[in-house]
Amino acid sequence: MAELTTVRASQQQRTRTARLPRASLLLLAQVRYHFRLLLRTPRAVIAGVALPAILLLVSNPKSGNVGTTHLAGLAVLGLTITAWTTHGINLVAARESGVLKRWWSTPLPPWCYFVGRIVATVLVATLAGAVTVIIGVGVYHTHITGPAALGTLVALVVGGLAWAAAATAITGIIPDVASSWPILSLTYLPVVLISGVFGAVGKTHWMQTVASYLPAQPVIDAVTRALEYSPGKTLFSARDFIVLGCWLVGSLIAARVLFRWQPTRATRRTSGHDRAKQATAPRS
Amino acid sequence: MNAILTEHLTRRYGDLKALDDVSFEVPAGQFVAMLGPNGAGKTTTIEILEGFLAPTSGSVQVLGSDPRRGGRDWRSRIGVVTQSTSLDGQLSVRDLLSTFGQLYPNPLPVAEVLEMVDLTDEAGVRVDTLSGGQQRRVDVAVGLIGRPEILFLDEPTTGLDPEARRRVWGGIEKLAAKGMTVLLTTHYLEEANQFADRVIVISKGRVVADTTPEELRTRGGHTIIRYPLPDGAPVNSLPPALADHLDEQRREIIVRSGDVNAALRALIRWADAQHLDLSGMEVGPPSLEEAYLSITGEQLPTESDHG
Repeated sequence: MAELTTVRASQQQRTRTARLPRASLLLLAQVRYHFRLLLRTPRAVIAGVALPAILLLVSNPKSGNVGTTHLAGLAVLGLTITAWTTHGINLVAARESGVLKRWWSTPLPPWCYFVGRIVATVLVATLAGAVTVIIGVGVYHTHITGPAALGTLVALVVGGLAWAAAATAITGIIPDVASSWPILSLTYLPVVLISGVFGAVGKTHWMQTVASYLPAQPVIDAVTRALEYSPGKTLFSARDFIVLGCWLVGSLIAARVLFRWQPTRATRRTSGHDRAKQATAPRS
Repeated sequence: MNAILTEHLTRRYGDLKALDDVSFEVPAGQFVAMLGPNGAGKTTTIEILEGFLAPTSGSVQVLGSDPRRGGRDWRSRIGVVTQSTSLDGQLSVRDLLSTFGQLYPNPLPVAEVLEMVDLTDEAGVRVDTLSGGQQRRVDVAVGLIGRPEILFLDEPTTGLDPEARRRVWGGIEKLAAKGMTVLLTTHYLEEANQFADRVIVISKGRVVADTTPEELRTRGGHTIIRYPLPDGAPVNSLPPALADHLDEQRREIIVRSGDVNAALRALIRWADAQHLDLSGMEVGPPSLEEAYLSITGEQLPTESDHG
């Protein structure tokens, strides 16, 4: 009788498993869902798209043209604000408010949630970078060929992936929403500054070496190279993509280790046991 | 068949025992309310059952599986409403429910869920523009959309105003009528009394009562006579047998007595002599709250505690 029950249970389980929606469809739905959420987040649009565009317009009011390195720097500013700051803050906010836990409780495979979220972020981040380049082309007559546009897009996508993956990893050590902006900006602004997002800065040799291994300068270099492409030149530098690839893989591994679904500081009303629980609760 | 089976569950946080040897089972289709004051261990229990937390020791089975090892199939069979509202607010209620519905093999139609939680008119409204009570009902709707076999409701009405609470209760009432297995944690005895087939009372991490609401009430002791004193009632003239039961702060006489007839006779005689109206007088079994207090010795949080 017990065997029969077990068989029935396992048959029922097989039937149910077969009827679960395919992960590929769920992934597409997640990309669409997070893309819509991001576009409805004013911070993503204002900071990621509008700020670099405004900086581009106000920093070149008279000359009538803009250097490709400067244009690439501001495009990367839009890309990284979205992929690093917006993505990081949103992820911490989702964890602290219990949204991540809500998704965790559903039959959605966890990897679908994160890949969907990262892909959506990269799409919006790339859009932010592309808008800056388009303004450069439209307002400052920056010449861009088809291959150059494609190369720029590829550089922005790969850079966006590396930055979004790194932001996912660092959220694991951010305790709450209030700490997210200080931590994310402290780890962001020095990197983009020495990497030349706002233009060339005087750097010592060691700073140049460090910046070349951080994830901002390789994206700026890759976008600059792509924008300056002409027949006979190379569209991509392998080094830029190797550095970004290492950041991507390293960040995904770090995210796997550090990531938390639940808040460290419970925001619910507590007393007695719960307070003690908060003080001693281990990371799950 | 049991939907939930826990045996000797213990959960420690450092030196603190949040759960101490908790064992109970819930047959499929039963509506169980878990009562207890703040920090009693209700949420720890429900989080272990949902698979969010591992017990330090003991075993747990939900729908035949260990929740920590429950895969996609298992998760598609449970519905979860956590203690605080947890929703992405930028989408409309309908879009949010459709998105969650896509995750399940056999979801409920969105319109049906909206009707259950009384949000049909708000279907096209962005979630973050809804009131707190409405958002909580969206939360309950998300928990229901997958047609769960078992639904975990962790304090779904805590912090809501009475009107919002009444509306959430409307949704819960419909669930109870559908015969779904429901585990509800709550501070509100009224909630437990209204919906639950069974009440599990947890205090200081231990199960101190596991019974029906009616039976729990009988544990409160003797029949109670409660008489709110009318304005101007001359309490100085109360006979000694009644004066001992005067609650001066609440201006009422509360008699918990095995000999109801004698106490009633004395009260009626005194009220008659003083020409007092007896229409506010109540005679009956102890309330669930009185029973709860006699079992746990702890006061449930008041309305103001919930902010």
